[in-house]
Amino acid sequence: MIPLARSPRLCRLMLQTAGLLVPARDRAEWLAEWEAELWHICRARNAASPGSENAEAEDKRQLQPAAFCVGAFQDAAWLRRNHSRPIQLPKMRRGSPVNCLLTLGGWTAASLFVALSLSSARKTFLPPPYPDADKLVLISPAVASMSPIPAIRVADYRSWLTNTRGLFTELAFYQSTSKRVRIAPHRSADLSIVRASANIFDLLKIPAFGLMQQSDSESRLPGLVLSLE
Amino acid sequence: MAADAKLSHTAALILQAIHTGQVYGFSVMERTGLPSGTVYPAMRRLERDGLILSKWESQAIADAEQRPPRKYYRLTRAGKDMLEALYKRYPLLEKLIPSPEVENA
Repeated sequence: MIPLARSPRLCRLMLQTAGLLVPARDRAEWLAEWEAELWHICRARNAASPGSENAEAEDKRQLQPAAFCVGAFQDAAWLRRNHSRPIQLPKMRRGSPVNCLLTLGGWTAASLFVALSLSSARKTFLPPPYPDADKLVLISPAVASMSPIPAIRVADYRSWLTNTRGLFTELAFYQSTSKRVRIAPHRSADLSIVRASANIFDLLKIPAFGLMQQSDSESRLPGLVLSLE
Repeated sequence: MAADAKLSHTAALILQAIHTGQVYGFSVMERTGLPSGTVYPAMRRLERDGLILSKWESQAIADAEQRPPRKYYRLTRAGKDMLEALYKRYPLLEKLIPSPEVENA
């Protein structure tokens, strides 16, 4: 009579029971591997000569098929626990070129995204609105100008920097304001008041007879010019 | 990955056993003295981590020898690198399971 621990039928039953724990897609292959191993274990035991003197000691030394099959439950349980986990790709080595390039690419993309989200930074990425825009400069007041259109050429700007005499003949100051003035009881008028440098008329080539007739010493003093619309 | 060499001593033993030619589950058990409930789950982990590869024996070979086909295991390139790193962590690994060439020498 075959002892229970060596019974092939019992061992197969154990494997099939343990196989119920294994995910269905892997079950057939898993069972085939364990049954193949069991077959070899049983054959190894049968190959040992039962009539020898050390048969009993040899029997104890050799692996019992049932003991082997007990491990199938642990193996099946491991597969069950790890069934839902996706297959892990080999981890990239720290400091590998691919890892470095991916990190740099990620930071570049993040920086680009931040730059494009800032309006002032985004302008630098856009193409210039004018041809030869790099040769033009914009002269604007201290308060930020709303118009981004360059007003003068770089060549003119440099010329004015070096030729200071031209500042008095080629540049003029002009500031226009509107003011309501009371000119009589219950009567007021809106006046356009302009403050300008004395050379404004020369620059605009408009004759200003009152000022033109003044002497040199008088022309340096502030003058008042009235005009009618 | 090899630089880390974070495998346990048991896993290192199994890796070494596979490296020295003990290429199926039962032979790894015999060589390492570990029970089946330890060896097989450990081999699943090693295979999942890309350190070993399994391959079924040809049905024709098994039929010729009138036995069921076996599933064989072998080390991958990453497995060999890992084992090299493990020799530094477990210096006795090679002495515990020497390769056949070392044994015959």
